Amino acid sequence: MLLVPCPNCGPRNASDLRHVGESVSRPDPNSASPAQWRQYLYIRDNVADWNTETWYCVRGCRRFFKLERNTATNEFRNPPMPGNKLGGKA
Amino acid sequence: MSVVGSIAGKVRKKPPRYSAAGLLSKGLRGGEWPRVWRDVPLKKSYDVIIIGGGVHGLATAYYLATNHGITNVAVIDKSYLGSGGSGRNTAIVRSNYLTPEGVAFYDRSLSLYNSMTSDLNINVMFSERGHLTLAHSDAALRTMHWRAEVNKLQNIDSSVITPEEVKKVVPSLNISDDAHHPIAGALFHPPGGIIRHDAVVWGYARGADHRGVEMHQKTEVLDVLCEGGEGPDGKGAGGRVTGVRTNRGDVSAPIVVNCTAGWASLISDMAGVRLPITTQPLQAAVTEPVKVFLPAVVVSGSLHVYVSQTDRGELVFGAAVDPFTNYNVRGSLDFTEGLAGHILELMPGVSKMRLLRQWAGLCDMTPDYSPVMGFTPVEGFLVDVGWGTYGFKAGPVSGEMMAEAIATQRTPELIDAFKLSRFEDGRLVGEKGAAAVGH
Amino acid sequence: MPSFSVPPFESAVLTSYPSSTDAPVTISDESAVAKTLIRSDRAQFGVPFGSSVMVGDALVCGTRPDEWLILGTVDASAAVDSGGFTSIIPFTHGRSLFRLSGDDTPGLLEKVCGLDWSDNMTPDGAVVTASVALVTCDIIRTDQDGQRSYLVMCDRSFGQYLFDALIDAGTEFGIAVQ
Repeated sequence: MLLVPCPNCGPRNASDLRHVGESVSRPDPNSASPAQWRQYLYIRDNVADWNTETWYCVRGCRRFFKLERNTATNEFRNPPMPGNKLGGKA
Repeated sequence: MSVVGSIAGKVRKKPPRYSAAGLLSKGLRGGEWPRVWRDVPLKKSYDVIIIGGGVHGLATAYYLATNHGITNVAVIDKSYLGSGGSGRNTAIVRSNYLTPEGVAFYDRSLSLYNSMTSDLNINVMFSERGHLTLAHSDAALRTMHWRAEVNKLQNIDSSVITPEEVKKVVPSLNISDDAHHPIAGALFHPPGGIIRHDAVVWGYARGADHRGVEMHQKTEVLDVLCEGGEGPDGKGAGGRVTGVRTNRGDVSAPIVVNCTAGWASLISDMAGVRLPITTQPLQAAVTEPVKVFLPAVVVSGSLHVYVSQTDRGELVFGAAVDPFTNYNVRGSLDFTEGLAGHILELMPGVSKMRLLRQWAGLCDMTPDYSPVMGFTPVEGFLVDVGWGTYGFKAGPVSGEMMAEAIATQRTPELIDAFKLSRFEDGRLVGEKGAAAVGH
Repeated sequence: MPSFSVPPFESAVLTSYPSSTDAPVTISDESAVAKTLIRSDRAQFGVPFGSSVMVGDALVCGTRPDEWLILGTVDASAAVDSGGFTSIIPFTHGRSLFRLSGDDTPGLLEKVCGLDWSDNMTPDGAVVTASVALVTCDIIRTDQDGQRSYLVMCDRSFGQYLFDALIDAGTEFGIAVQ
């Protein structure tokens, strides 16, 4: 059981949301090299520590937002930040 | 047999054999059993260091020693041997996969499991009890037919059976139409079954130990030492590995193998090798023991649940990975609730059974649900990771292949498709339908 | 121009279950109520996300930060600001709507939805979107004559399942169909 602090709906069980994944920088598709693009598609830091992730409140407000979560302890810190479905850092 | 019965690096003269006569005599006369593997000091250098003392790491060490005569090997683990996924899985083995490559790979694994008790001289309690993959829709049934035909072509005992035949194999299943997901048929795979996973770990460790391999538990890798690479400290592509830094000091080796499953990306990062891996826990649960009533392993891909009954009579359940990345092995109510609902859908008769405990293991998930095996851009640094939710059943053959790769310095054909560079080349291996979901 | 005649709405849900009007918890199928969805980056109606207001005979509910659900008949177009992107979607036929009433309703909802149904978290008029028996639903608290009452709305294809699930969850509270 993980309570995810949705900025609109308040704390919700993680089953009400979708974990989009670790936020990664999306390179410009027009100028990115294949290697950069594959890095964006597949490679993740996957740290056992604080990480910035994108969540989607699929059963609530249907908004994307970013949160800082410790993947080792499942604690959240800092208020949610706006996010988008591409999960980008920008 | 004394604890320090042999010198590291040399084959033991008289490895203690387990036998019925030995058990009887020990039982009657008492006395200490010999240590299963030696407790030796950590040396300053080895030919091969294997990080991760699970089935994959230990099997690699065992086959290095037995098939290739490479015995100056250390298996190091930050906890105890078999403390990760090898001791946390639901111990199901089978070979009825969908792709010909998958079938060949797992069939080899299954045959190694089949002869393991005599090969390793330890009772791994392999119970070849049959494996049922239920289909709940016409589409699923079509896939089952497809799988059965692929299997038959490769001489794997596998066939599609009707709900009535399913009922004959497992009488406790509800095959009526009033279920939310009625059973439309099943893929029946008689050679599938369950095995004692701890015994597999101990067997490989003992077998490797007898041939001179060293086991070092509570030895945590803090850094992977490299030189010549393009990154900081000589790490990264173009460099080569020189050893590892552990909590017990630096150890040098020209070859370091990463078999650390859920922690794989953290270890690889230490060598400057980025892996396309995320870590997600997979939960499992076990009930109180009851009289044996479930004769086969039952898997439902649609309900995403699998169940078998142990020799002690406990029902062992597994389901899908947790829906978010995580290094935490705590159980969740969501899992228990979903599991109970799905199990009761299949077997309404077990509604009064109580769960004894639930646990989780860390799975190293890849984007295409296939493993990452073999060489990396850092010379001497090999990986056998990305096994996700089905690493245990592939353990023996993975060890065999990794040992071959290390000894010959060439990627064996059987694992060529799983190389790390496939993510750069865009040649992903779509085993998802066959391996990751069906368990 | 060909003309279409819209057939009168009939709920697809079979509600054959013991009926009563004075059971501790009652459920009724109110799917026939006119439902209109408004999505807009402009419209506000003075109804923030998570709350509802009666406008004439219609109930205007803030179901998402940029989405409003109107239950009942209202001239929606007049309520929308000019400019911006606005969609007005009549979807009476697309949703099932149930009313749960009675003092024990929070107990029933707790069994199928992991939210806090106390007065300070979800007071009268509160609107939440959440999973009810694993189906995504809009839930609106609209007390009637001081009695707890909730409207639960889901996709029509899940209607029968949700009705059965609510009956199943409400059995211990003596649920009856109104």
